[in-house]
Amino acid sequence: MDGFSGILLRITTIAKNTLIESLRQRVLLVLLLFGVGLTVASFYFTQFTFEDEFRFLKDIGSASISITGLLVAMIGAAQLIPAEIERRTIYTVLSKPVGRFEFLLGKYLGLFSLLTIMLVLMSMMFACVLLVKETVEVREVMVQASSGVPSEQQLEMINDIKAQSRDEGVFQALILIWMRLALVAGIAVTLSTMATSTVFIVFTTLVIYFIGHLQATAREVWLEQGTGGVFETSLLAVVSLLIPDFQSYSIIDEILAGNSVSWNYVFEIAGYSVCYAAIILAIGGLIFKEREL
Amino acid sequence: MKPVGLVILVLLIWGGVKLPWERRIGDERSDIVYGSEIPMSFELRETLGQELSFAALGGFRALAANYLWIKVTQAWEDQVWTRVRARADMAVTLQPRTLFFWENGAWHMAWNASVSVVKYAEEDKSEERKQFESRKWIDAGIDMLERGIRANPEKYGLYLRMAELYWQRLEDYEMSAKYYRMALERPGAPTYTDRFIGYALEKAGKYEESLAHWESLAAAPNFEERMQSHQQKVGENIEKLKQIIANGGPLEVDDSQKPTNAPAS
Repeated sequence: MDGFSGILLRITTIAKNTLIESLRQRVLLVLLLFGVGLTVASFYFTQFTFEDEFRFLKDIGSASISITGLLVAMIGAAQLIPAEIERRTIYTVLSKPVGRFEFLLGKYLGLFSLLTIMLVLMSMMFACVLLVKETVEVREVMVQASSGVPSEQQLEMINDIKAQSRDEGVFQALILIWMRLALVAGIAVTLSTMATSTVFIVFTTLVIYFIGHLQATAREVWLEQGTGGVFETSLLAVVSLLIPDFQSYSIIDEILAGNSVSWNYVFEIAGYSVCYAAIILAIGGLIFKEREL
Repeated sequence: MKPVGLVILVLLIWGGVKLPWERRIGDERSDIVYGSEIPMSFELRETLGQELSFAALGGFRALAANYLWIKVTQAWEDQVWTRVRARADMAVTLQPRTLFFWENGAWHMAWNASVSVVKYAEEDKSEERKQFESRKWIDAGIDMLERGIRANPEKYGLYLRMAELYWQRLEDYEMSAKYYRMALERPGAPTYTDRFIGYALEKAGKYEESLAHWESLAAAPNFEERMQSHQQKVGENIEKLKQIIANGGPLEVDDSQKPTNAPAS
């Protein structure tokens, strides 16, 4: 089959196979269970706070999703191409009329689907945790209501509880977490086109992730405070050119703290993440095309 | 063109797009957080220790701040107030836009610590010394709320807490009224704020101002909606204040007028 539909079919077939293979991997399933467990365990931590329990739940729940997602993205991506080379299955696939870029994109989309499924499952668990908490809190308020009819103040409290548990900011935060995972997966997949060691890919992705977070601090110290010399400024320029500014996603914490952030801003960061992932994969495709297998 | 050259070209073109885009996203973020976002400074990293720095650097500031808050709670249970203050300070540095840390950090200092240093002081400590230490903790609470207000000027919550602090801890009702007013100017302030301005002014001895406040409330077009079940109380207060002014002196202070929304000690 030729043309665009042929390319699309080949990419989706590879993506489907990658997803099925990933779902069979016990490590990733264990990580998912760990994440779900951590989200549910956030209930335990609320006993350390007598106020603002929903914010505590949201912080821990979103962090559980992020940490699990990052581990799945890095470990999953690191195994994509090196494992195919090790098992020699890559030669069978590439001997067919499948372009290397199609192969890479299919692999990435398979991993991205896995991350999406994982995020949806964990978000559902997260929503359940918030709803259970809401039910418990509302029941506590109702118990205090004489003759079962809540007073004006108690109604205000119930509305406040519902507003906290059904906060649209949680959706914004989940979208941004999803986009951050898509970008990290893109970086790890690109690194897997040039490396053979899983450990190397995971480690390097982690280093890039931390440098991406540190960029803003380095900029502040070296450029804005003027303490950086020529070397520091050049280093920062190279880093800024190569590595995404992960500090952009720190707005997740602001959203979960109850600060209002517009959907336009969320979509702008989402757009940035999609463009960055596309560019980084294009670079990965160019590298993979030249790689000797 | 060779692939290496092509990769470099793609990177350069993307860099030209990416950098201004990131700067714009960063600027918008600064607007959202009112410029209160504090980058992960080297000084803070030294204070936080390795594990928490790792979490905070990895984009998990909220998680690190919550962990610190658990430590604050432990220090509170142990009544080690200097540790409560140090950890609460770290939590607010990590999450300056979360009111919870400011409010409760200030509450620990201005209420819990300041009472504790008097109530559980060593027997040989003089009353003067106890009061001095107590006042120091109240000032620490005020300082925390002032910093919190600077980081969150558009939210009513910390103004309200400051009003309660001046009322309950320092009995400075004039300052309390001032902060209730400031809270009321912010969106979402609870309906009782309006009434507490009147009560605070009365307790401060500013009867004419208090009367003017209650009368302005009664004359407001949305009086019924704002006062709800307290409409009768407004009329009673107006009458009472008119009497006080006519008598040229204060009447007995009604204890039931104290704010009831303050955190329990």
